[in-house]
Amino acid sequence: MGIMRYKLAGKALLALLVALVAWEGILEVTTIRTTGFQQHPELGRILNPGLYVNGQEGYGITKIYAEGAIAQPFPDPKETAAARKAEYRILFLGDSYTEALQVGDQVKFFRQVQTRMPELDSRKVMTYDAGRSSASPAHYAYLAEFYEKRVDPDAVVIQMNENDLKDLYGENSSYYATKDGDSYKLVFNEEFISKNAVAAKLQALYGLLRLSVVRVGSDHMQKLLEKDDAAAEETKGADFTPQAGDEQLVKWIFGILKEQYPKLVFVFLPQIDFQSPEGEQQPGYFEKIAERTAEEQGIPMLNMRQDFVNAYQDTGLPAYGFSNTTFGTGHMNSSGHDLVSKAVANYFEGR
Amino acid sequence: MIFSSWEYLLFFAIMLILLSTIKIHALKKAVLLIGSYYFYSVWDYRFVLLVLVMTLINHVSAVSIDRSTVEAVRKRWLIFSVIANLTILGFFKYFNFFIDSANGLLDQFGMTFPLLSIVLPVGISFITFEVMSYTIDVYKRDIKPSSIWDFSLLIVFFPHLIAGPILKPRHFLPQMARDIVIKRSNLIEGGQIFIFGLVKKIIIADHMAMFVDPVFASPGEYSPLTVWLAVIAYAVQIYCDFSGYSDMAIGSAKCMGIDIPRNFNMPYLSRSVTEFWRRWHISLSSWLREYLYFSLGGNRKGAIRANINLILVMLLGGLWHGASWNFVLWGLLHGLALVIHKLYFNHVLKKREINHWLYRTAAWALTFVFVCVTWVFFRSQSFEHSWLVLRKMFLIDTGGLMWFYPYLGFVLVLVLAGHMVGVRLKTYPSVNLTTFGGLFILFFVLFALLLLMPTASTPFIYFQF
Repeated sequence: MGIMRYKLAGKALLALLVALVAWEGILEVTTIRTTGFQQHPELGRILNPGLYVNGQEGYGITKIYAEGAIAQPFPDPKETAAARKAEYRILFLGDSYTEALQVGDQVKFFRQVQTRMPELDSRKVMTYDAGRSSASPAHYAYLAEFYEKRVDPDAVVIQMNENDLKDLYGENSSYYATKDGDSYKLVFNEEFISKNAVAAKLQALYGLLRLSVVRVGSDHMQKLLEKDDAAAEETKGADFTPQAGDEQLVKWIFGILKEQYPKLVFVFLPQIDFQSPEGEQQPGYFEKIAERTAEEQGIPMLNMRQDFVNAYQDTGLPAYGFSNTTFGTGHMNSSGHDLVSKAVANYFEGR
Repeated sequence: MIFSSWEYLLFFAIMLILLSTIKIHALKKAVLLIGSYYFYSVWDYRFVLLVLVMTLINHVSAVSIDRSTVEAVRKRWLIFSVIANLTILGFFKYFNFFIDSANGLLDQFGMTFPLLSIVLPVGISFITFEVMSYTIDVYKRDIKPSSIWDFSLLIVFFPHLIAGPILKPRHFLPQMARDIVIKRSNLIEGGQIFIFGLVKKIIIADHMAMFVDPVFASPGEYSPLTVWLAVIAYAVQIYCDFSGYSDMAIGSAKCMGIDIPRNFNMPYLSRSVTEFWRRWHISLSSWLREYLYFSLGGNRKGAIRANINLILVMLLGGLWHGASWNFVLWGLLHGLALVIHKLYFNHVLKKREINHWLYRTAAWALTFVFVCVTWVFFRSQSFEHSWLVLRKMFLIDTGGLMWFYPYLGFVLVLVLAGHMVGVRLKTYPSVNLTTFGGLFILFFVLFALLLLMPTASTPFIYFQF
């Protein structure tokens, strides 16, 4: 009887492990295969190099290179001066919308800009994507020196949206801005590990998050245990209460960005309720502040609102959302990337 | 406390521990009864009193019916209990519906009645049918009245309390006379049935909701093909949602050694609407047949009357689902289809059996399309909304966003394969948990529940009834 029990326990353990391995294989191909994260001394928490598969929202296979470069490596540090001179470099900074793990590498808007505009000023156009999930303008301001040294861009495109500007206050990220007397200061949050509460609480699990089974399982477990999490995620920022100093903060951060990046362009991705009539569409709180401030400071800002609405009216396809989630919400789909790349290329070509 | 929640699993585990620890049968039943009332009170404690009142009315009626030998007295008690039950149901579920409908007519004369803020007690439709079947069975002398405790358990036995299956008193009550024994074999069998239901709910129904909800929210925005796919997805969703719930109820009961008959039997394989209703929500259709259709005279009063009865039963069956003209129309369409099929059967099929595969396929396709089209009325909030969906489906409105929800393809294959296998199995699928293969399947499915869980959970559709 005792031996039988041990045998059964052994079978159960083996079956459990085989089931885990089977699911790991299935998830890596269909749902998510993460490259894991590393703590970079200057960049903070970035993705490890490797292939990232995302099938939870849209479907995209993204090649991650060293220093968090998306789909295309940053320039060779040993390049010659002549090689550098022959290139017109555009650096794209932004959050998960620029990181664009939901679409394939060729579809990402930074790459489409390079395809649409092979040359500029008789130089070969090279685009670089440094998009990072949860990034905010605080990241870009803090990392200006690094990118200047590492990419040496001729122009910088910064993508932002309503939440990115709200996230300036967010302490739950690697970088954020905080009040400092009458002005503000940037903070590098070295202790930030993960937004995954289970992993954040149990740091020993952090390495395990690279396993798709653990990553997806812990995310779902967290949602089960904290029922309101999903709703909170969906309405991220909805509980934000406008503060008196919001405009001052945006002015301050835009000023820093303008000072640090040579030829700066903003791309604003607005929140749009595609099912509301056009006349009822209202620009967001930070969208209005960003437009006003960019104009005051002479920073070109490509607000995609009209392009997105027009395209939706023409094709019926919203710029956000995917067939495996819901159209109209979430990250940009291929249509959205297409529209942004057109707008950016048109801007640089002076059209 | 829904079946697919941690709270339920904890509650159920406590119930199992208590039932396996207690040795006295009466005490076990008391625990089951208290646990069931607790389960109901978690939804809304205010309505526990209502359930108690309904229990008391029907118990007194049943005992009085049984005691009396005078037919007129027995009938009076039956009528009293039926009226009392229907009044309670009518007040909570249909009062505002009828006032609102009347207001639509009276509005032309400048008169309207105020609507009341009535909270619908969860499971009231199921509870009403349950108590009525008991009293009617006693009246028909099919059963003897049981003790008030066993009768209470028939009503509030927690696995079936909120959304059925509607239990037959003659099937359930004898089980209460036997000892409730928690056996390992029942736990394994019941546990597997429960997991099977959970898979249907979480992996299929909740995922389908992610496609169905946005399309039904604004059908005008989507292409006809997308709307058709959403309607098919809804057919899958409602089946997996409701049959998944029923499976979880059956599995929970089985763990306690109590058998509840199956409520669904591969309905989408049906080749006629008549067959569909033999396979869909079996406990409701058999209730309607036994207690309503037969009471109206069934087919004993001629063909025309039988057809009228059929339509009437389906109309009321539609209304039972919800206080809305959409449900009435849904029931009416099914009633008409049943009558048409009956006529066709009597005048064509009875004389010449057709068994060609092409005919069988066409009959299946026609039935499936009919069922799907009628689901539009079931799912939509109003006639106007149903009309919007139907305009898209029948190409009166074209254009709109083409959205192919990739998960639907996988689910359709899964459901179709499940139906094909299920119809051969005739029982719930089960695995041998002493073999490596069986254990692997169990762990694989348990991981699937965690890993394929959608980001947002959807309430069980039938809870609203």
